[in-house]
Amino acid sequence: MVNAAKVLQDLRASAERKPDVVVRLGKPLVESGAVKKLDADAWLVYEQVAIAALEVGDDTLAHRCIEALEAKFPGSARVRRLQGMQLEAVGRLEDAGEIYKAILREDETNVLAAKRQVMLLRTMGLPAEAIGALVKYLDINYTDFEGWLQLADFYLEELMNTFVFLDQLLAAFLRYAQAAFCMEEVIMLQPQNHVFHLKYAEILYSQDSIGLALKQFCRVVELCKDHVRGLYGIKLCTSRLLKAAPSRNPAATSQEDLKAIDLLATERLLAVYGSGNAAASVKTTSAKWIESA
Amino acid sequence: MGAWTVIQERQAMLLDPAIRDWVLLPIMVVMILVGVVRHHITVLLNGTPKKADLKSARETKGLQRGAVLRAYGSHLPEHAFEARKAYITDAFEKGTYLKDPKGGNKPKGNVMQDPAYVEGMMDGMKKNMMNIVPQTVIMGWINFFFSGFVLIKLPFPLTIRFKSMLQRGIETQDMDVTWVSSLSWYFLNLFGLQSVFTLLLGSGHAADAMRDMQAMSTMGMGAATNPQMGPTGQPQDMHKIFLSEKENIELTEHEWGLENVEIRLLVKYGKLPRSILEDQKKAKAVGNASSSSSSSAASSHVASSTSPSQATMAAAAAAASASKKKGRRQA
Amino acid sequence: MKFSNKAYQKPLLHAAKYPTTAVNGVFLASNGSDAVVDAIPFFHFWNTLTPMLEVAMTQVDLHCKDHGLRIIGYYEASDKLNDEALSQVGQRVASQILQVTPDAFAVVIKNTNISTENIAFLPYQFKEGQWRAQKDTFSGPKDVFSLENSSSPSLAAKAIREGLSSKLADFDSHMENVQEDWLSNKAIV
Repeated sequence: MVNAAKVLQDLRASAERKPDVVVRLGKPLVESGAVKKLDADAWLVYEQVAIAALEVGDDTLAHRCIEALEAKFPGSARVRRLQGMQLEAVGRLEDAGEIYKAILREDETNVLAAKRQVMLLRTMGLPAEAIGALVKYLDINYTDFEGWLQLADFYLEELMNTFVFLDQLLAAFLRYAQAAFCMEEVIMLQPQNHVFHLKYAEILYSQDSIGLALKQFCRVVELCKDHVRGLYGIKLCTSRLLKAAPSRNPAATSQEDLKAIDLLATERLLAVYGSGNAAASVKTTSAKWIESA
Repeated sequence: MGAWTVIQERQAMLLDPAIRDWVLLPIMVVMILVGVVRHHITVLLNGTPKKADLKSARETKGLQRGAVLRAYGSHLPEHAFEARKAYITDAFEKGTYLKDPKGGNKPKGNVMQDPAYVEGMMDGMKKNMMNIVPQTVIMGWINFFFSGFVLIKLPFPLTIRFKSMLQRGIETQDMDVTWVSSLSWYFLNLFGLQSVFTLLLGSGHAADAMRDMQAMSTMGMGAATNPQMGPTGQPQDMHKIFLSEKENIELTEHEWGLENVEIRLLVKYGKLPRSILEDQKKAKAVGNASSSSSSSAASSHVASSTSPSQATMAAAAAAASASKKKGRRQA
Repeated sequence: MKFSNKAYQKPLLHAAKYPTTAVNGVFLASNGSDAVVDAIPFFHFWNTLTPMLEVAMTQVDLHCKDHGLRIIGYYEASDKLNDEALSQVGQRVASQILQVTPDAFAVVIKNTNISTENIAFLPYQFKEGQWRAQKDTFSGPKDVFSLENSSSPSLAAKAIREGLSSKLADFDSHMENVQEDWLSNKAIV
């Protein structure tokens, strides 16, 4: 019991999204009433379990948590947001939207409600409106890197939906450029997180900026030693750059360095696969890929 | 022998148990009670937190854009950095992020006529009064009734330097440092009851004595709570702040953190000698020094500084790649 | 297209393991037959970017050559509960498979049916220049899309209830920890 509470607390602190774990641990706590013994933390646990339950679709558990919160904090904006999410989960999108609107009427700076509104627009199948709302939100809450991350995803999802009148490739390029812009903001706000560098690198690669992508993939491996995904990325970039004609741009990586980096990535990938007990078929397949790339 | 008797005498000093019952404990109880009452009154006074408004939030966050770009812009490739630099300097110049972009947010003629300002000031006054008045009253009470009382003896020896801390209000030179005076007992309580309050009221309580100290040092104004008030309590001209931030950004040269990341990575895995990085740094410094005269001339007229700075970058890159090859040959 | 039990179960376990994010992967068939024998889960972090998709596709190709298989289809599940449309990315990947395999298809997982006894696959085929959802499928063995084992849905629901999904590995989790066997997923079959 104590352990479960501790794990839930750690998950809250790390902001990791593991709804299945939260529900598995939190359900017995809530149902047995043991959660009340946590005093002040109890309400945070209720909120956490409620959100997780909505995510995995356990409506009764969510309802129970939200009722408990409602009884304790009647009329609180935070609880009303949960009620809105509950309405979203059962498909009453319009009603949920009304709740968020009401919260924002009372306090226009309520971040949680503003974010829910954006996601609601997306659920309603209005991606362009969702992007617009999120851009407006970020214009004010500039430092919210999660918002920028979400905006990058929106642009990537909508890669070819809009701009139909443009050439498809050009449209894709523009969207990747927008997503890249968002990731640049995320990187400035969270420069030490390798995952964001990784995503930026992959966007650059998708956008065909292979030279820049290579540098970003290198950064990922520099921040996080033997990062398999980063090494794969390096291999992809170097093999493409080595096949292409040497770049005349002085800032580009020299052929000599490309070869050295390519060798390094090959060596590290083989070492990583060699050291663990990876399944034989996976090992042979990856080895073949590494040699052929 | 003489010193020995002195110590004997000191230890023989006896305190009347009535002092414990009627002075020591009452001071502590009163201080705890006052802390609790103050917590509840503060909660009542703060009952409705003032709603922040969207435009001033945007103003402060907008300013952060500049700061973030200056501090972490080196993580971006050059094209991304330059695009942001151009956008932000332009936006700051025009005052895009100001609450009132057209009016330039000039300070009002008479701040006392601005209701928001007056309200903010009254709020700060009220809070500080809540903090200072009870403490002053208790201190007065102790000073009046119990000045010169010795209340308690600490069970461990202390050096002479603690004398001024523990025997405030008693002007003797000979008394052992371990005896604590009434006024000092008050101060010990003031700072030491922190965790008792946390226990009684939960964390984040408003009976915090440390806050009193802050209140005394920033007497009067709610300077710490309101970012738009300057240290003197005057609302500042945000446009001026934006303009100075703009100048800071213009002076920021872009130095890409990933320019030689491949080399760094190769060095990290021991494929290249570490010295190669230092060689590169030196080569870069030389490259910068040779063109520093032109860039410093340009910095006064920053708008046109992009071309010389690009030249610097190219020169540095060329020098770096030359030294790279040299380093490898040595290896 | 007859889906084997394995080919039906893996995508559902994949979607059940990551309920808050979009997931995708591919279907494999043996050479010279259109029986769908296996599925390989790809991503759950993000599936909108090409580099790791390139790596995954070529590795699966290599895997297929070793085992006499071919890539025949693509599957995805949206992170939105009621979203059953084939995404832009999905259309692109499926179209690429189509260039190599003329009988290629795509499947969108119906999130609402994942842990129920109902069929949770919504197949798409490329017809008249567009990817179109194929309704009226899985009703009997004569349909274009059918199940080899008619109890597959209830078996899959049972597997999800038993928490088997936590043992499934996709390419994303494989890259986090190379010990995870994303190609054959022996732990769940």
